[in-house]
Amino acid sequence: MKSKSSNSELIVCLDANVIISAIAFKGRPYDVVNAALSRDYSLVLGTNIIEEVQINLLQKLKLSRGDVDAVLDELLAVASIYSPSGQYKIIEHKKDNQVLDVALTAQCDVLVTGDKRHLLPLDKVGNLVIESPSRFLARLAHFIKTT
Amino acid sequence: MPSAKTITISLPVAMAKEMSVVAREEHRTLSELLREAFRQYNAQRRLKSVAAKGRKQAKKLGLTEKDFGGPFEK
Repeated sequence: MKSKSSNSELIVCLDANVIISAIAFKGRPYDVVNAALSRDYSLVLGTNIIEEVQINLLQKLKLSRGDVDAVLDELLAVASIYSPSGQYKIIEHKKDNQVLDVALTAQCDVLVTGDKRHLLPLDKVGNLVIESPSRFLARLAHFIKTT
Repeated sequence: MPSAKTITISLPVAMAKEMSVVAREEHRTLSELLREAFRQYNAQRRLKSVAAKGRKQAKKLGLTEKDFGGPFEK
């Protein structure tokens, strides 16, 4: 596990819907995932998030196991992986609470999500900023420019 | 079997010079720098290829963001 030791890069957790959207619909989520592969920020993923991505890509999008593994292998190569600690109870919605748990446990700066129902309305939890792919890309561009 | 293969590549002189400068700045060898550059290139290539298949599948199956718990904020 990687601890928060440097101010030179943003530590960012991606929600499953960002990765799924990147692959099924492209757009801004694709740019967010692409930037993770370029190591423009330090990626954090949860075991719960990886599992959700895997299930959706295989069962709903019906991509082949080989294609799903190819994308996940690339993400796992650049990511720090955490399991939900069970320490945080922020919201009632269990699945989204576990996403928050991972981001907080990993001491992330940002949680990027498209979830308008439970996560984006929170805006901030402690030092963790919760924002959409578009807002995060603007933050990342500014961060890269100024560091 | 050896775990690394040595290859010879040719680069424009200016690029080779720039690469040496970057390697020095980042305290990396030229081999490390090229390995990382290829890793990134290939990772993005794989993402692009799978995302092209993903969009094709979503269209074919008539899937929208709603089918994945959306609509999502972009």
